[in-house]
Order: sequence, then structure tokens, then C-alpha cells
Amino acid sequence: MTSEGEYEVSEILSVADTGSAVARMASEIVAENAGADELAVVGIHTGGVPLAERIVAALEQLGAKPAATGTVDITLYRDDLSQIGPAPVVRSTDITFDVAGMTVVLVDDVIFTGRTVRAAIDNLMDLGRPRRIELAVLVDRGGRELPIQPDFVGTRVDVERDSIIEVLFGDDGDRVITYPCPAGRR
Amino acid sequence: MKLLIKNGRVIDPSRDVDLVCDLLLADGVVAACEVNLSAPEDAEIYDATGKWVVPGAVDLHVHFSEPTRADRETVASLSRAAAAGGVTTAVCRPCDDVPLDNIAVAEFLLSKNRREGLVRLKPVAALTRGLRGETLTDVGDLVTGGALAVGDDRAVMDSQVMRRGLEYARAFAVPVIAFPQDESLAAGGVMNEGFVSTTLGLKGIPWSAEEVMVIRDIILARMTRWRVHVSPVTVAGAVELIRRAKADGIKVTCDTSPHYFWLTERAVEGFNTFAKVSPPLRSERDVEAVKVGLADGTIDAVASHHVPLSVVDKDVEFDDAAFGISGIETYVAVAYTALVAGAGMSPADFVRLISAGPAKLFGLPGGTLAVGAPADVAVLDVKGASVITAASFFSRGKNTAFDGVEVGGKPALTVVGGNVVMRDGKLASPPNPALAT
Amino acid sequence: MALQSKDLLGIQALSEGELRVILDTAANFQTLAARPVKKVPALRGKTVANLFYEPSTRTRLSFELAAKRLSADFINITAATSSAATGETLTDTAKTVEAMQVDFLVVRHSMAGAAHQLARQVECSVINAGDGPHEHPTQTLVDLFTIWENEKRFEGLKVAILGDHPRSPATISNIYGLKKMGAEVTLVGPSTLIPPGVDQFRVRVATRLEDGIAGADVILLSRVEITDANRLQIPSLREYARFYCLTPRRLALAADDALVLHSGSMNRGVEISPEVADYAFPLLVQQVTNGIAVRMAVLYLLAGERE
Repeated sequence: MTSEGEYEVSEILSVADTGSAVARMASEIVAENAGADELAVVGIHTGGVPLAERIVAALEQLGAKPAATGTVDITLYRDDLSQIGPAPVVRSTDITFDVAGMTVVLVDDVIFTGRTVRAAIDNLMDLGRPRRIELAVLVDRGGRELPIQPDFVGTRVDVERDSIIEVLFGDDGDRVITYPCPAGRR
Repeated sequence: MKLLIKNGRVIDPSRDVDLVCDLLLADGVVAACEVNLSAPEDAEIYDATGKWVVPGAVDLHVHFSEPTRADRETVASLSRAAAAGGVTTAVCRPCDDVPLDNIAVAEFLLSKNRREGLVRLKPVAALTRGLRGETLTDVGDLVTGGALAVGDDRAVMDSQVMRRGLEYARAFAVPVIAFPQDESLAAGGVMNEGFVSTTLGLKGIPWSAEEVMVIRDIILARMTRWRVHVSPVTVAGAVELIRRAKADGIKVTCDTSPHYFWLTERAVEGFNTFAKVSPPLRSERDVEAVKVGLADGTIDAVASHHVPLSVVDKDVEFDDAAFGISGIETYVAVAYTALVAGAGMSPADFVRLISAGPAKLFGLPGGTLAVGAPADVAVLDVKGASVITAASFFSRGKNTAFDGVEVGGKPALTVVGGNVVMRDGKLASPPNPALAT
Repeated sequence: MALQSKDLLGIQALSEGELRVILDTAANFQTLAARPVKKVPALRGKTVANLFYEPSTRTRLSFELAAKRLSADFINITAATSSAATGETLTDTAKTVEAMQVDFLVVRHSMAGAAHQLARQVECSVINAGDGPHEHPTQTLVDLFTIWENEKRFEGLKVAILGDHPRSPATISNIYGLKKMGAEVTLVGPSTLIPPGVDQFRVRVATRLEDGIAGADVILLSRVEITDANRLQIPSLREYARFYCLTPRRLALAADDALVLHSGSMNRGVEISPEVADYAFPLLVQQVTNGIAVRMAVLYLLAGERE
């Protein structure tokens, strides 16, 4: 959701660059895990879900179809539920496979403080005991508040703390933009 | 002691008077009522400009609870509340706390009032012993001891007992007061039966519980050729039954209270225990019928139906809350606001309902400002508006359904037997020498 | 969107939108029951207290499990049958609860209005777990959820309600809930059991069972027994069963695969025949798991701050 005209929007990654970043991450995943037979690719709602689809497509292009895919919604695991106002809408966590013994690649579009990933890890652990969890993000913007680092990164950027980074997913390709945070918005 | 009430609008329906003039009270009686009276030297003067000067209210239906539940109301606190409410005579009714079914209890009330009271208190004695509806009290003894009438605070369900009570009371020339609620139809009910009670999940008291008793008592009044006074009347059908009975020459009279012509059953919504009364608050149709009955003379008097209760009586689950509204301090102003300001009733008719009418019903000397009548006067502030505030009640019972309501006609001065007992919200100290007799 | 009020006291005050949010959220919580770890930390650090003035094992356990699965702390406050029984005023009770720093108070009482009266006096969220014949909102929410699960619609759904209506805890709540969602409601029973003024709810009334359940998609039943309170309204259980017991032959008059939901504590042979009871039993089990999910949804949604 962007509103043009009101703020200055700048592009961080073009459609072409985003595509190659995703492709590169996919090959890194294959290299790190010697294939994808025991891999589960799980997208974190909301932005991680379409990105996970892109990564799965890229993996398949490399001949490395993951064993399973799924999504997690971290709403119930957030550490700030009592501070953020009305209870946020709970979406579904869709993990139909047995997590035990799998290598799960968690996927999110942007990593910032690390709290979302922490919640996703807790959610996954309540489902079973994975053998290993790896983290793939398209954009690492720094600003970590927890000791959590991605294993596979599309790009690293350095922006003002109060600016927004958004990944725009489209049928004709994806791109990454940034704009200043409008007053009053979290 | 002389008191000159100057320049007020004197409304005295007993003499067809409605005029701005001066009222002089001396030696405990009305001395003169004329335009431009000159003040005697030793007279206190009260400027009643813009206010109404009326005979003090005669409240036919009050309760107190001394000594069994003094936390609810004592004789002294009742008297203070009455003075604040413009009431110069309060008629005490029997109830479980004070059964008034033997002469000792009546004596207790009267002697306490002589020592600690500000206004006149008169007892109504129970019709049946212990209010059980089985055997008659010593009616004659009680009437000789000062009882104005006899009547239980609940219906006498056994028709033969009610019949004998009417016959017996006839010989002592006192009316029988009837509480019009059939206990079998009303059993377990806590509010008016209808859609509202269903939405609240509360058991209801149907309108028929009142009509069934009213028609029975009218028939018994006809049979015994004696007087029954229905207190209070609240449903449309009962008003109509009384209207027709009066037209047929049957000796039936009745009164009602302001909560039955201001509030409806909807006041209970939200489980407001302050709106829990018996008989219950009724439907809009009933409220309109009561107002019509007041306007056309079918209903003879307005009383407070004062039931003072303590906090523990009301701050409980609705089913368990006690029934009653603490009304003596506010009923005159509420009635004024509803009937005169709200419905255009004439001042004379209003004064008849709160003063002349009730006095006449029970043969009391008040209700008039004729020369020589007892100096029982109330001055009402009809121009100003005040907000009813339960917390500042003089009554121990703060259980009002009108908290926060703005009304006009608040009493500004109350005089009993020529002595000022309340002036601008401040009370005199008891005893009132006029009550010594 | 959130719930408008800090409390859940009844269905009367809920909008259709709020009802849908609760049902949608409950659907998400339902998936948790299939996981090995059924807990989520969403209400960690919050305290849920049960204040039950009358026993109701089923409802109490359901709330307790719901609270624990949200990682909330749970306490039982024992209460006598009413304030009068202990000489405590409602204000006294409210102050005690506040002193315990409870976040959610689940109140069950035999008298109408108890939860409402308490809710006025406490800052925490109050959930009405049934106040006599008045409302039983979570029971209705569970019924609605189960209906949705099986029928997938409410609009135009024909629902027949049988039972001792003046005393049945969820009748009023069910009427509100079903009407708000667009269903058609028929109250079935002898005239003495039809609550006064009920036609103002725009429900149909049928004193013949056959008329009431003809074509019904859903039949809601509750226990019928004779007590002092209804002795004059039901001549005998035999009489009631003869005319109103849901037997297989009568059930055949309803729609094919009609849903039969009993609110619990079946009185076999009175309001429901043993055969139909067996037919309805699996749904009863479904209601138990649904009950936990629905109550988790209610607690979760009330936990968010007010708008």
C-alpha cells in the first residue's frame, strides 16, 4: 500500500535486480543444503508468503523442488500484543507436514528488529522439533534488537530508522521501494 | 411566633383561591390571607416572590423502619426528609419492619415524633395481625389510638377476610386501604411482565395481577357499602375500573405515585435495582392512562410511596434486591414537573392532588389555608430548576430512581404548625413544639 | 476490527460484524487443537478468573482450558450462591476482584443481570458465562460456530428451538444471534412456555411440534425437567414428551440431514428420544472442542485495547 505523490519514494531494487537476488538466494540454499530433498520452505505472513513462492519457483528452476512448503502467522506469538491496540486479525498457520527432522527455511521479505523471526521460530517449535532452521530474507535493513541473523540475504540496505521498506510483489516482477514513515503511522 | 409569607402566588383549591397575596401565620394557625398585609412588629418575613404558596403536602404513603432496620430510616430521619420535601403530614403505613398491628407500635411512633420529629406523622394500622391476611387486628383500639385507616402492605388474598375487614372498619368510619396485587399472579416477579422482562430474563408481574384485585375490592366495597382506597393504582385497566365504579356510586378512592407517571418498565434496563418497585414500573400505555386518571379526577391523590432502603438492600443481584424507591423528598417536585410543567395541569388541580385531596380522604385538618386552619404551608420554587442528588438526601434511604434528574417546583420553605422546619434546604432542629399535642 | 465493549455480556449488544470476527477467529484457534503443543503465548501474563455462583462443570472447564491454551494464568474464585447469601454487596465483590488484579472475570450466576451489574464496577473484562434465563453468549457462539461448520450459511436457514424457554439459559442469546446472522427462528413448545412478548423478536411461534420443525435445517434442544419454577407450565414430563419429544419419526419432518444440537445434559425420553440422542451425540463432542476454540477467540479479542 503506497500513496504516491505525498512522500518521496525511492527504489532500492529494480525488478531485474530483485529477480536476480532471488535466483542467487535459491542457488545458495541449494549449495548450503546439498539439494532440497529434506527442505521445507515456510513463508512468514504477510510479506514472506509471496517471497517464499518466488524462492520455491527458483528452486524448482534449479531442479531442486523442496519436500514441503507452508506458511506461518505469528500474530499469536507476538511479544507486543498488549501494547498495540485492538487485537490484530489472526491469519492461518498452514503447516500440513511433520516438522520433526526437517530443515525449515523460514522466509520473510524484510528483517529489521528480528522480533518477527523470533515469533516465527517459537511457532515452528510448538509444531515439532525441526532438525535445523535457516532464515532467508530479501532485504536486511539492520536495526536488530535480538541476536538473530539471516543465512541467505538478497540485499543489505541502510535507511533512516523511521522509513518504510516495502516489497511490491507483482505479476510482472517484484521490486523494493522505500519512503519516509508518514506521521502517526507506526 | 408570627410568620408573614409575602408576595407569593397563594394556591388554595379548598377556597378556590389562586392569587398573588400575603399569608400571615400566627399562634400555629393561618391568621390572614390578603393582598398587601402589613407586617406585625414581631413577625418574621419570608419573601415568596415568584414562588407558589400552598397548603403543605399530605403524603399518604410512607414507610420507616425503626427500630428493626434503623439503617433504612428512623422516625427522625423520615421527619427530616419530609420537611425537605415540603410534606407537613406524613402517613405511615405498616410493613414487615413496622407491622403497626398493635397499639404499642402506634404509640411508639407518635411519642418518638413528639420528641424527635419536625412534621406531623399519622399511622395507618394493619388490617390483619402480623400482615398475614388471616385474622383482623383490633381495629377499634387502633383507630382510637390514632390510626387514620387500616390496610396491609400486601393484598388480603382471602376474600372473606377482606369482606369482614370492610364491614368491621365501617363501624369505626375508617377506610380500608387495599394494595392491589394478586400474590399468586405476581409470585416471584420482579418487574412488569412483557417484552422488556423477557429480554432481561427477569420474571414478570402481569398487569392482570393489579386488575384482578381492584375489581374484587370494588365488588366487596359494593357488597359492604363501605370505602376502599386503592393504593397505588398503576395500570390502565385498573384506572378505568375505578372510573366506572365511581360513576356507579361505589365508595372507592385511590392514589398513585410519581414514578408511576414518569418512569416506565424501561427504567429497569441495565438491571437498575433503583427501578425495582412494587407494584412494578409499567408500560407507556399504563403511564399515559395514569396521567389521564390524574387529570380527570379518577385518581384522588398523589403520594410518595416512600420506601427507604440501605445500600445492602439494593447493591445486590436484581432478583435479590429489595423493592422500593426513597421518594418523600422529591415526589412533590417530580409530580409538579410531570403534571404541571410537563402536561399542563392547572395549579389548583396539582395542589388538590398533593394536599387538599389526601387531607379530605382521611379526614385530616390540613390541605387548606383558610383562616384558623393549622399553619401547615409549603412554598415551592416553580421558577428555578434543581437536580435531584441522592447523596444529599436527608433520608437514610438514597435509593432513588431519579438521581441526576432536573426538576422544578422544589420546596423552598416548609412550615408545620406555624414553625419553620425547612428553609432553603436547611432544616430546623427538633422537636417541633407544634407536635406536642 | 476489535470488539466495541470491554465485556462480553450478551449477544444483544454485538453487531453482526462482531459476531463474524469472533467466529472467524475461533476457526483459526480450532486448528491449534490438532497440534502436539496446543498452547500459544498470546495471553501470557494475563490472569483469567472464574467467578461461578452456581456450578456448571462443562462451562467452567471450557473456559479454564481456553485460558490455559492461551498461556494465561487461571484462578477459581469460589462464590456463594448470591451476594445476599454472604452479606456482601456487589461492590464488595467488585473491589475484591480488582484487588486481585484479574484481567478477565468469567461470571456464572443463576440470577439475570449479575454479570452486567458486576461489569459496571470493574475495569477488567467481564465475560457472562450464563446469568440465569437472561443470556449465555458463549454458548450461542459455540452453537453458531457449529452451525456454520456444518451448514456453511446462516441467511435463510430455518432454525427450530425447543425446550423450557423461560429457563433455558441460551434461548434469548440464540434468538439474537440467529436473527442477526439472517436465520429464520421458530420457538416450539406449549403456550405456557412461550415467553411474554416474544413475538417482538420477530420469531415464529409453534405450539405443535410438527408445524415447528417442518423443513427445519437446524433443531436446537435443551434439557426439560420439572421444578418448582415451572410446575404450573408443564403438567407432567409424560405430557411434554407425548407432544414435544424429538423422535426419529418427527425428525423426519425436518430437512434432510438436519442438524440436531443439544446444549448438554440430555433428558432422554423427554425432549429427545434415545435414538435421536445417539444420532446427536457426535455433534455434542464436536461442541466441546468448538467450545474451547470459541472461548479462546473471545478471550483473545477482548484482550486487545479498546478503539
